Amino acid sequence: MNVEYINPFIESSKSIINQTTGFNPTLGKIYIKNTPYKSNDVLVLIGLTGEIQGSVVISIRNELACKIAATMMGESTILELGEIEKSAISELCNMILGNAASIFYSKNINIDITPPTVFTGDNIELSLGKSVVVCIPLKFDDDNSMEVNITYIEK
Amino acid sequence: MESKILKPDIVTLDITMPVMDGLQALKQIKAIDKSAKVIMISAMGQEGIVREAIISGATGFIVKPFKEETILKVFEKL
Repeated sequence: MNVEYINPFIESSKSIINQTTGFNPTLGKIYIKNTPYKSNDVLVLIGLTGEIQGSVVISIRNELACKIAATMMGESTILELGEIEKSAISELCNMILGNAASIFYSKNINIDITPPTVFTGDNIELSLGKSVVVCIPLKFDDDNSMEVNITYIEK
Repeated sequence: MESKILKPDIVTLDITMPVMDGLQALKQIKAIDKSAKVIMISAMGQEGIVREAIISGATGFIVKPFKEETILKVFEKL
């Protein structure tokens, strides 16, 4: 695990979440996640191309996703994620990865990102072959959490 | 293309989009109407991308997330 490739995602996630929602997540212990793995969370998949090739899967607990969507949309409460709410979550993740790409650029590492894809449902299994998944947990109030799962191959 | 039919006063374009990215869309819009006012709004704020957008005819570039004041400043300059 190259720390140089992980720090931009940490920096960007915390910064963009704070700027768009006012929340201040704290960094949990980073670890290697075994694959395949299952999730009941809202998942947003974004591909990475260029000098770093791979993908990022941002997983957000449904309750937290509703809170984030509500804040982004100026609503007091959202109980369920409809298409507009999923679009807000998708946009948040797009901004996180876009900002990360800008940080990489400042370090002379050129990457591009793909449009986000949102997955919702129960017991979603993600299989990434023999790839290594680096998991960056972000902890919020009320025991809510989000994970930034990074899979990459250095070109 | 809808831009050709609707002739909007201002177009805001993201860069990361399915089917066609914003820079390609910008070039197509400018090919139809050289005077079109197109503001790029993107999470990708790398110098190279901003430069390519401006060279391709973008009237402005806003990096997301943005504040209301930023939008107003860019639009006031149009």
